[in-house]
Amino acid sequence: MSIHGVLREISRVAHSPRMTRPLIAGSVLMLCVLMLSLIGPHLVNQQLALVGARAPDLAPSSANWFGTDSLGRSVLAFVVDGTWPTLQIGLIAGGVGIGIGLLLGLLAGYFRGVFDATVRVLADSLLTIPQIAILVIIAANVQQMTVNLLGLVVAILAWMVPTRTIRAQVLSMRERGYVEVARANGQREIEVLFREVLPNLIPYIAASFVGAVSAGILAAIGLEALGLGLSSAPTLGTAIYWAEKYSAVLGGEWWWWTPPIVIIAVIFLSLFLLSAGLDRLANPRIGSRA
Amino acid sequence: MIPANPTVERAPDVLRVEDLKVYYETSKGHAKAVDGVSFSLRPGERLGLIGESGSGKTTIAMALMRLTHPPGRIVGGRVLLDGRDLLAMRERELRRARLKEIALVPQGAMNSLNPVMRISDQIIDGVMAHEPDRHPRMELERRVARLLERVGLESSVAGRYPHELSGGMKQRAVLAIATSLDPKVIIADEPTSALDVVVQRQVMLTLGRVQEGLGAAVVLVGHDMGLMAQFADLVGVMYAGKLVEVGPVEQLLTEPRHPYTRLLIDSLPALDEKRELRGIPGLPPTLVDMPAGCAFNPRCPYQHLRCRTETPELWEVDPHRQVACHLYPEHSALPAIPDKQIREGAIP
Repeated sequence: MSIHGVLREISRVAHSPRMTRPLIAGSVLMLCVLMLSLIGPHLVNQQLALVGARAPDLAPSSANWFGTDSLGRSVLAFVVDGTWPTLQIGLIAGGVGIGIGLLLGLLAGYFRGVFDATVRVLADSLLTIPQIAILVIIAANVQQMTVNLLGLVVAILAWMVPTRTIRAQVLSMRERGYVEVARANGQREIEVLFREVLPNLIPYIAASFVGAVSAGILAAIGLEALGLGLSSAPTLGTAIYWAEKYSAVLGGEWWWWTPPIVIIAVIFLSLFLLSAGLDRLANPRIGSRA
Repeated sequence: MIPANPTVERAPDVLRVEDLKVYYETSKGHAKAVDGVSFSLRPGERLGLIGESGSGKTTIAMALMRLTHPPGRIVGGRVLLDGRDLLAMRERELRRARLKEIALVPQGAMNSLNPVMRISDQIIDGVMAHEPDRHPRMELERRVARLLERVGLESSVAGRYPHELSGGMKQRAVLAIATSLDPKVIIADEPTSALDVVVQRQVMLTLGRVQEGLGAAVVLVGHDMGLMAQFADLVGVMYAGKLVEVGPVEQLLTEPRHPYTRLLIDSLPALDEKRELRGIPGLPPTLVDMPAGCAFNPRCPYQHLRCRTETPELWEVDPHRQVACHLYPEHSALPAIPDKQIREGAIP
């Protein structure tokens, strides 16, 4: 395809009625965060993220755009370095959470019975316990925390909400006429589940995935802010932990804690907008009718 | 309309239903939604099952596909499809029989198509469930186009989603799916209930044309007498889970034998004569607590003592005509409604 063709295709997609403003805004914001996290580390000298790289507690200046913290690290450097691990934790937690939730929700909702009852009781009980309490206990007992491990720890409690929402959808889907028709046409139960029910769930899965990613990021940031995060790599949550430990808020070092909070806020905003927009995108009933 | 063609007459039954019983478990006991229904169809015959809501029509249709769900349960009887009992088949055999031998045209085409799949994929899914060996894509597409053409749709419909089609087009697409493997028996459960009369007629004509082409037997379930009169060869009248009268459609409409059939026909407006419309007094019985004797006896103007104690059996009063009523064989036709009943205001 020529460049012209690519541009025309992009313009076609952008003008389709399914591309709603939330989706476009969410995608653009997410793209900015991704560029910052993936391209940024190549543009910023990463040595500056190490302790003692510069003089401590410097206010922003032309030499240090975002100033330095009390440990002599460049705020710009560690924010740029910490964004990707933060996203990665969220993606792992969200992905694993949705994966488990999808499997349990589909099977429980479609086949009902004892399995459904077990899954429901388990999910409901876990939902009533404050998550951070469980996560703190688990995280505090992990010897060497890595990005992947933290993602998995958060994922332990990331499957209940997807399970319940997907199960609820399946309960409604399995009673639809076309599911009965598929059975009447001699399709196997498992075929009916994956060919008839699953495609109808894509909007919910997409929205749930985005929701689970943001819940994962939030839980990880909570752990990190408590000092239970990574020792090996910087993340946005650990940045907040250090700022809090060195009383940056009371000390008036706004340049230290503002950037990570702004990035976190942008991440959550873009995920929220994506979740709202995806629902329309994945739904062929909306669109083309306009 | 009367199956007079001797070759059709001699053909063996393609569908034979014997003493079918479907009960629903309720907290008050068994609701006998279908209670001992028997009928048989030869290839090419069209049977219309008619009756008011709750008379068991749809329950029969679902039981014929063995799609009865709890709390419903097929309690007894046989559904012989070319001599093989569908109700006794193993799961695998049953799956193979569905669509290929007995196909369902469901109630409400609006919900019978998957909203997120193209029409072609929905047709192919049914085909692939029975012929899982690899088909070249081109061949499948040609097949889909042919099936769509057969039900009067353009082949471009294949690439569309259900929401892009009108109600009539959707119902035709559903027909295309149901007839995709040339079934021997088609169960049509109020296939046109959500369509306006013009489209209704077109769809029924299409169903008839396809069915004739296939030589398939049809069981049409519905409550629209006019539609039945146009489409069916034979009509079975259901009341409270039982067949109360079966006969060739014209004879049944002009000369009903069962009091219920008679009152049902009287309740329809006629175009050529102006008369007061009459409803049928009373309500159908609750299926958990049936009156003793004939289920229709509390509403029947001909009711006499025997009706309250003895349940009438469906039996052949004339060739091709079966009625379940104690008036026969004493009478040769349905007598006039006793005046007393009308005077006493049984009809509100």
